[in-house]
Amino acid sequence: MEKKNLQIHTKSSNPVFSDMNLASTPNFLNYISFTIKDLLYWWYIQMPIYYIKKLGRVSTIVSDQLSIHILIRNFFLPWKRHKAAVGYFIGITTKLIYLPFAISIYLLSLSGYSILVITWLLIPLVASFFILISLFL
Amino acid sequence: MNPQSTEQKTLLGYHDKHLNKLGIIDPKSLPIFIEERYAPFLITRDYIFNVSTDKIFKVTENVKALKHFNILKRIFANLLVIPGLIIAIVYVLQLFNKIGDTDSSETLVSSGITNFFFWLSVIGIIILWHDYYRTKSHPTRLPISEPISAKEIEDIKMSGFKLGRYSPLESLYFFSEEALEILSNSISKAKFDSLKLFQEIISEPLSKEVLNRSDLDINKTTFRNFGISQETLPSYDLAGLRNIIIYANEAAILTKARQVEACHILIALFKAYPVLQQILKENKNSTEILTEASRFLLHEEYVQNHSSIFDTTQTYYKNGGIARDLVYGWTFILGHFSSDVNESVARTQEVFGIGHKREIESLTATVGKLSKNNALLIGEPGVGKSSIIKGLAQKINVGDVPQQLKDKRIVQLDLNSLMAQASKKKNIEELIKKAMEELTKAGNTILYIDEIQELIPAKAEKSGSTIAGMMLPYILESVFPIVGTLNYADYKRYFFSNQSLNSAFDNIEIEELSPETTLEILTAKVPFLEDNFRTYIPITALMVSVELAQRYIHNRKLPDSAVNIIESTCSWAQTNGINRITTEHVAKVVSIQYGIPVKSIDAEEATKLMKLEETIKRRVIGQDQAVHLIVETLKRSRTDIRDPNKPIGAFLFLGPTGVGKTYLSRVVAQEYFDRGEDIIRIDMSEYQEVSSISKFLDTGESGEFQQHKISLIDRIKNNPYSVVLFDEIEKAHPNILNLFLQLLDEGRLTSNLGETVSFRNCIIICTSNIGSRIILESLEKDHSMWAEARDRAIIELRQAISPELYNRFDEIVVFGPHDVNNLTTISELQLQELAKRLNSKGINLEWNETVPMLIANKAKEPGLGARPIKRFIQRKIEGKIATQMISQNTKPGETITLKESWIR
Repeated sequence: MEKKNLQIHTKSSNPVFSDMNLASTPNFLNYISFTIKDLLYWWYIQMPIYYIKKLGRVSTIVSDQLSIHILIRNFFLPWKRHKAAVGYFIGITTKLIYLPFAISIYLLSLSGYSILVITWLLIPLVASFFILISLFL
Repeated sequence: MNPQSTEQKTLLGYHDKHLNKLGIIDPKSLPIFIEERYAPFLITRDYIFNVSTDKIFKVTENVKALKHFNILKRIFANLLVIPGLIIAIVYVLQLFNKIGDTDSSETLVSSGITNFFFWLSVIGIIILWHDYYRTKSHPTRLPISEPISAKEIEDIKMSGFKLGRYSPLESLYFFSEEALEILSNSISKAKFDSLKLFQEIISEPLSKEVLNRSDLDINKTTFRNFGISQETLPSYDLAGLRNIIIYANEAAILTKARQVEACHILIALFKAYPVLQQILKENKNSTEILTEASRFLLHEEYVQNHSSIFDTTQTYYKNGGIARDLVYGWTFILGHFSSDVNESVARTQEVFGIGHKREIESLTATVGKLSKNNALLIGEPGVGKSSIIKGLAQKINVGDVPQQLKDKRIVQLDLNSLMAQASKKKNIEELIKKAMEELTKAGNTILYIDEIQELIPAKAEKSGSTIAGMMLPYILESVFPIVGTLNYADYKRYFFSNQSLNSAFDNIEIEELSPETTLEILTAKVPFLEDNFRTYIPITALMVSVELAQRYIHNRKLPDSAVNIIESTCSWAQTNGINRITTEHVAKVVSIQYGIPVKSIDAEEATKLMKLEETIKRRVIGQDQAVHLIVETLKRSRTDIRDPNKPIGAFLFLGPTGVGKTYLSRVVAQEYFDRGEDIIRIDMSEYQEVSSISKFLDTGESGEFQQHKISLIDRIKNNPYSVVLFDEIEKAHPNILNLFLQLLDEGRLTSNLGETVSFRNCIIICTSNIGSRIILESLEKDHSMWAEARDRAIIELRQAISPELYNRFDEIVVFGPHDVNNLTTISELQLQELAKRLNSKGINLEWNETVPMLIANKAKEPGLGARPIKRFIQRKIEGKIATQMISQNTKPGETITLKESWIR
C-alpha cells in the first residue's frame, strides 16, 4: 500500500512537541527561543501561503457571484434565449454594459485584499524600523 | 442498534516487547497495560498511531511548564500594548481638538520615546495575535480515516499485523490543548490518577454536554451508588495511560473529529473501566451513544466555525451568480403552477440526500445525458425519494455537479395548481403546451413531478386527453430532463405495461435506509427540531425512535417513519410543556399514534399481563387450554422475546361451531391491542377458485371505473396492529394456502402490484371445522374420550393441509364442545350483558340462580355450541322484557325480575 506523506503541522507549530523542548528539561529560554522562531515562521511563511490561498478563494467567489465567467462564456447567446435579432441585440448589449462594471468590482476587491496582505508583511518590519529609529535618532 | 457504521475504520493492537509478538486487542474488553513490555497501538487503513511512556512524561511536563510561560508571555505582551494604547488615545483626542494644543501633549505625541513605545506596542499586538490565531489558522488535524477492507482485517486476524505498511504517527500530537492539560493535571510523580482524570473530564464543558446529550447524569449519588473511588478507578504508573490515550484516539477517529478532545478521553474511560461500564449498563446506555453524542456536538461546533464561504478548508462550488438568469429563458407560464426546488433548499441549512449517495450519482448521470435523460425514482413511501431530488438541487446550488448540470434548476410541477389554473382559463392543453415550450427554450431546467402517476388519470375537460398524453412527445424526445417519483405498485400499474412510457425513463430504485444512516439523518435534524419545538433531544431519544420505527412501523419505511416519530414526539412535548424528551416520551407517542403497547413494562402493566389469562378466562368459557396457549404467546411478544420477523402469533383453532373460536379472537384483540373487539375477518370460503389468488392479493383499485373496495392488503396497511381471522381455511384453494407459508414465515405478503405488506404486528388466527364431526361424535358417547377425540381431529387436519403449513403455526388449538356447566356460565354472562344494557337505561334486571341453568338446558342443541343460548335469550327473555316495559310502563329506577315461567 502506498504511504501517504501528510503535511501535519504538529512539531513546527506546537511548542509542546518541539524536539528542542522535548529533548531537555523544560526551561524558559528554550520556550522564548521557540516562540520567536515560530512567530517569524508563522508570520512570513505560513500566513502568506494562507493568505494567497484565501486570495484565490476571494477571486473565485467574487468572479462567480458577479457571474463574470458565465456571462463571458455565453456572451453571444440572445436575451432569454429568444433567437431573433432583437433577442441577440438586447442580450449582447446588456452584457456589454454589465461586464465592465462587474470586472471593475472584481479587480477592486482583489486589489484591496492584496494591499491587506502586503500590509501584513510590512507591519513587523515597519515596527522594528521605527523602534530602531526612535532609539538611535 | 449500533449507531456506528458497519464499516470498520480502526483496529486496536499491542506489541509484546519481550516476546516481540503482535496481537489484536478485543474491543469488547479493553485492557490497561501497566507493564511497560506491552505497547498498545491503533491502526487505520493508512496509519499506525502509538505512544510511549517517555513521551507522555515529557509532553505533560512541557504542558505544565508552558502553561506558566504562556501566562507570563501574555502579561508581557499586554504590558507592551498599554502605552501604545494610551498614545493612540491621546493622538486621536488631539486630532479632534478635545485636549487642546498644549505643549506637553504635542511633545508627548511627537517625541522619540513615544514613537518607541507606540511601535513596541505594535510588537505586543503581533505577539498576542500569534498566540491567539496560530492554532486557528494552522490547526492540527487527524488524518481522515477510510474504512479498512474486510480482506485486510481477515489477513490481520489470520497472519498478524504487518506494521511496515502503515505510516507511523504519534497519538499525543493530535490531542487538543484542553485535552493535554486535563491529562497532565491527572499526572503526579510519574503516576496517573484515573479517578482525578475522570473527575476533571466530567466537569469539562464539552464532556458535560456529551453526558447530557446521552441522557446520562453523573453526580455525587452516582459516585456513591456505584462505588467510584480510588479502588475502582486506581492510580497507575504512567504506562497505564498509554491505553487511555490510544482508546481516546480511536474514539476521535470514530467521531470524525479533527483533534482528540476531552470527550474522547471520557469515552476511553467508559470503555476501559468496569465500574463505569456498570453505570452505562444500569442506565440502559452505551459507549456507542456517547460516541454518537460526541460526533453530533463536534460536528455542530465545526459547522458553526466553518460556515464561511471564504474558509479555504471548505470546498466552494460555483453557482453562476447574480446575473446567471441573463443567459437562460423564461418559464413565466410554468411559474404559475410550479415551484423552484433549488430556491427552497437554498433557504434551509438542512442537508438532504443523506445515505442516498449512490442514487444521487445515478440520477446525476441520467439527467446529464443528451438523450433518454428522464428518470423515475421508484421506492416505497418514506424511503426518501423527495430527499434525493432536494439533495441533487443542493449539489447543483453549490456547483458540485458535472459541467452539463452546472447552473441547472429543478422545477417541481404542482398538479393541483395546474388544474386550478386550467379551471380559470379553461384550456389545460394550451397551458401545458406553453409550459413545455418554455421548458424547451429555457435550457437550464429539470422538470420534477412528484407522484408522477397522477398525470395519467388527470384529463383535460374538453378533449378528454390526459396530461401524460399531452406531455408524451416531450418525454419521448428528451428535450429537457424529467424526473418523476412513484412507488412500486403505481409503477407496475401505470408504467410497466406502457411500453413507450417505460422505455422513456431510466429507473432508479430507492432502497430503505439502514438504521445507522437513519440515525445520522435524525441527528442532522436535531438543531432544527430543537429550534422549532423549543425542546432538548438527547441521542437516546433518537435511537429509540429508529428502533421503534423499525420494529413497529411497516407501512412507511426508514427514514421517514423514524423522522415522523421524533417530530410527533417533539410536537407532543411542546403541547404538554415538556422541554426535554426522554425515551419514555417517544414510546408513549408511538403508543398513542399507532395504538400499540410499546412503552416499557411498568408495575401496573406487569400486573395486567400476569392477570391476562385470568381476565380472558372469565370471558371465554370452557376453553382454558386455548386461552393459556394464546396468553403465553402474547406475554412473549410483549417482552420482545419473539422473532420480530414473524407475526406476533399464528394459531389454528379447530373445533365445532359455537365453541368460541371467533369470540376468543375478539377478546384477544380487545385485551392485547386495547382497541375494542375489531378484528380483520376474512371468510376463506370466498377463495375456493384458483383465480381468487389475485382477489386475495388485491390492493383495492380494480375494474374499469377504478372503484375502491377494501381488500385484505389495504386493511392491514391501515391497521397493521390487528387480529386477523381467516375463517374456515380448509375451504380455500390450496394455492392460496401456499401464500400462508410466506405470511406465517416472513410476516409479509406481496400484493398483485408488487407492494409488500407487513403482518409482523398482527396476531394471525385461522379457524377450521376439520375434525368437528369426530369431536362431536366421540364426545356424544363419552366425555372422557376428549384426549383421543382431539388427537383424531389433529390427524384429520394433517391429512387435509400440507405439512409445511401445519408446521408454521405456533399452536394448533382444539376447542372442545360445551357441556351443560359451560352453557350455564355462558347463559349467566349473556344475562349480565343484557342487565348492563338495561342498566344504561336506568332499569335493573334480576334473576335467581336457577335461571341460567334452565336457559342452558332449554337452549342447548347438540353440535351448535353456545350460539343457541344467545338466540334463546333474544327470543324468550328480551321479547318478554320489551313487552313488560311497554305494557307496565317501566320507568328508570324500577326493577324487572326474570320469571322461570318465561323460560319453560
